[in-house]
Amino acid sequence: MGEAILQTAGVTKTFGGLNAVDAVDFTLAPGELVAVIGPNGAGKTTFVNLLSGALRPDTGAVMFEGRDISRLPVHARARLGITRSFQIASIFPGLTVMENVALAAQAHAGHSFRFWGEVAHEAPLRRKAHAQLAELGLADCADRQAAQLSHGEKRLLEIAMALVTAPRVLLLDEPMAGLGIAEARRMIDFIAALKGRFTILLVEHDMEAVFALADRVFVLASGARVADGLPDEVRADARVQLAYLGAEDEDL
Amino acid sequence: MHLLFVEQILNGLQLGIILFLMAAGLTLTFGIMNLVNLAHGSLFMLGAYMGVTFQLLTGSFVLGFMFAGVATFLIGLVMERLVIRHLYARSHLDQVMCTVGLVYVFNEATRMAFGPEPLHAPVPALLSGTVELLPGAPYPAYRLAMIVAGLAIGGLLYGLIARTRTGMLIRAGASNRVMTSVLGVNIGTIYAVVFGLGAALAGLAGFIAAPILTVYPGMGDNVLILALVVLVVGGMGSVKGAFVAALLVGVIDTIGRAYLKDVMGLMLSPVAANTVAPALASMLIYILMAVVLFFRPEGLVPAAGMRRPEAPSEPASDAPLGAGLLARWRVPAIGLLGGGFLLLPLVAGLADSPFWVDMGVRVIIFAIAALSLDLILGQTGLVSFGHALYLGVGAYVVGILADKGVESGVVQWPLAMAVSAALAAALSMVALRTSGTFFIMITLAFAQMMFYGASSLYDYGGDDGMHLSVRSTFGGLVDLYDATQFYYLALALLVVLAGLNIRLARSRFGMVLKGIRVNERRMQAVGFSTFRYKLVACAISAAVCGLAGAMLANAAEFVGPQFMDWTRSAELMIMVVAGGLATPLGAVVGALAYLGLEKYLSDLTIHWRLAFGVLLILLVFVGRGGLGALFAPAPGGETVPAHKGSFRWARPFFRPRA
Ligand SMILES: Nc1ncnc2c1ncn2[C@@H]1O[C@H](COP(=O)(O)OP(=O)(O)OP(=O)(O)O)[C@@H](O)[C@H]1O
Ligand SMILES: [Mg+2]
Repeated sequence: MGEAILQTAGVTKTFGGLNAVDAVDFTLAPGELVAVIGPNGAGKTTFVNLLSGALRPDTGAVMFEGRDISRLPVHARARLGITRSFQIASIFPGLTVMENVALAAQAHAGHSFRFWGEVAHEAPLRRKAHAQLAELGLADCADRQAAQLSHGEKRLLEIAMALVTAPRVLLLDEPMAGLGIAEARRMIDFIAALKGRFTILLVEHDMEAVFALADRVFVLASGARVADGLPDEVRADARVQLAYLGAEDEDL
Repeated sequence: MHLLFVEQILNGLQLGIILFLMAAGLTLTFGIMNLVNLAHGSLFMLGAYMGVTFQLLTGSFVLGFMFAGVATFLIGLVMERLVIRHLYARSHLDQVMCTVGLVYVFNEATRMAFGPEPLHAPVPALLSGTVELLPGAPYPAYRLAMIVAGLAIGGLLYGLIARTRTGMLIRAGASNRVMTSVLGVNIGTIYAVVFGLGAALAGLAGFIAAPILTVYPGMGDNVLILALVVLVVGGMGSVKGAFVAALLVGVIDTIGRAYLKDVMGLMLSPVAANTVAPALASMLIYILMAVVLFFRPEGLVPAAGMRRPEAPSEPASDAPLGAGLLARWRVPAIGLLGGGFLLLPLVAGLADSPFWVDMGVRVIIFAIAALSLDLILGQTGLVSFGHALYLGVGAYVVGILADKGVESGVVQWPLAMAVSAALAAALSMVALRTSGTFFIMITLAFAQMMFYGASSLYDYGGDDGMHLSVRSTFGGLVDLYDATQFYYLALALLVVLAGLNIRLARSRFGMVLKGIRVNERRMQAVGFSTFRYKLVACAISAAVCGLAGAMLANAAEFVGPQFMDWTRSAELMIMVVAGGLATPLGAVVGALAYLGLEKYLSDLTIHWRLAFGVLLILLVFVGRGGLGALFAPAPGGETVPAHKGSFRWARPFFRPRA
């Protein structure tokens, strides 16, 4: 697996006796879109946290381009290009939409120990932010308070904040959660447009979206890997049906 | 020597037991209700006063003991019902402000009821003798009884929590609030009982300790701070941790005070040991706390089952009462304020009240200090409760330099800033490893540590502080002995600093601070090393506060540990909040309002602190957003018409003339 950009080897995270993530081996090749699925409480978010650095693994290692990054904190991994969205949309509610994205861009445009110049006048940051907002169809809301956006727009904004940093790996934790049908469609189309341009790990419950988008599907149940393969293989896998699809039948 | 050592260990245990009884209530209310209750020390005091009074009345120690427990339990219930209950969902800053208000109220009410003189608490006759634990080592029976009684109460508490149905509910409430209330248990009642229980424990501790402490208004405050240290060391929300940490803190503190001098005498010259040891001994437990935190930011025994929510709950954003009410007078008000400051010496001269200029200097100095606190509190959202520390450090740098013959302000003032910044950087390395409530308590404890450190600088006045031998000189450019010159120098500095503050808020750095305040986790996910930015913000803030301290030393011609007393830190915090967070003008308005009100009320009555405490509580509940909010432009940039909403009645007063 020499060409893997992000890889884990036996990562385990335990919360007071519960193995939330249990000895998981995982690889993500450049340009690939891998969907991680699993029932509620399977450990998907915990796994994303291990990749993004919000949590440190108890055992096992996380590798980025062959380098062990298990002990790097969140911001250092973000600077390497591992960027994420959160299951519960996480933005800066008190700032304008433009400021939200410009602030994300600022994190990747030199240091911010600058105390004098007005950040609002930094043309490159604004230009970048503006282009990103336009790409997501949020250009019209640029000057609105982020808190006033609709739920779907907040999700898009969060993705804009991730994309503006030109990530090497994009970790999306249930970007469709809580969206209406139309908004979810828009999001699926959007992620489809990102496919190929970015390396993406997508955690998702919406099976339609998963099988439409994913190059590969990775199934977690009770923290452990149950299956990892092409969408059709996984769909046919009896263990997956038992561990996951069967239990969630009514959701399909 | 050995016998003495045993005695010291016992003394340490006895202090530890008292601290445990205090910390148990604190840790329960924190673990279950997520409440920072700084008025817990007042319950300690009330227990002492009430119990001792009843004991003197009835002549029975046992009745006094029971009365102390029951009375503080009831006071706790009432307090919970009236005030505390409304704080559970509030920010930690609101909780701090409001409970500090309660401390003012309780302390002053006690002074009114019992007078300022200490109350003498008799030791019961039965326990007045000594016990010979080891042959030749008599130990006061009462102190021994304290340890036994404390252990017994602790045992009862354990039994209550581990064995009874109420205890089960309490534990359930601590590990999963939502679940417990879903199960149909009346969570409100549990909260009230827990709070009352904590209050009773504090009250009993106060009563038990009364015979060996001085019973005076405010006696609980120092014990409270020690209990907070215990809480942080033990791990918040953990009763077991509180027990272990309380004994540890009690013993280390006592042993340190008794033996550090001897131990250091082995390594240092006697003179050096004599100067350093007392300071170090009084700082020992704070150093212990820092070390524990550095290696275990969650404390020695982290409470189980406290799960961090994935997303920070968005703060309730109801607009403060009357926000934007005076928005149309924003510009005139700023003009008036500026004009007033500019012309004050002139007016004072005309009115023949030179005192006003001194008062003005004071206001400006505190405005600068408040401005510096606002950088971390208002702009970054770090609730630092020890900011007066740097006021003191700045003042001491000037005082010590002047004492050593360095009188030039050009040397003194920058050095005051540099030392403050360096100290802040060092302390923040530890403090910033924590967040939320831990951060509040650690900053408070560090300030207290330096307070005791400064109190032991016997060469520089010790407890009493020292007179500043000569005001800073500025090579003949400015003469600080001329009140007007001093005033205008201070004003110029304030204007420059406020300007820099506005610039900074709009810069890259300011934007990062704002992002940290709003959503720190997002900032990290986006790639900011928030720790470094917070560290620099703390250092800058401390430097500016150190400058204010340097000026304060000159204005007061005095330097003393009082400058860094925790009430000073609270004052600065009140100024910032009262004026309005994250607005440079807020700090100025807040300082003016605070000092003005203090002056006005204290001229009116010696019990002004009572009124002040009430105002503080009202500020938290009614005046969110501070005075600045009254003048703030309404969100969206438009000013709210004065006749909207609940202020309809005021319409005739505010309608502009056609
Ligand atoms: N900080 C934590 N402390 C204790 N337990 C945790 C913590 N975070 C997660 N868990 C537990 O670990 C398990 C996995 O949780 P996780 O959030 O990773 O699941 P998930 O697959 O993302 O579920 P969902 O589909 O509901 O988002 C759950 O049982 C959860 O309760
Ligand atoms: Mg999840």
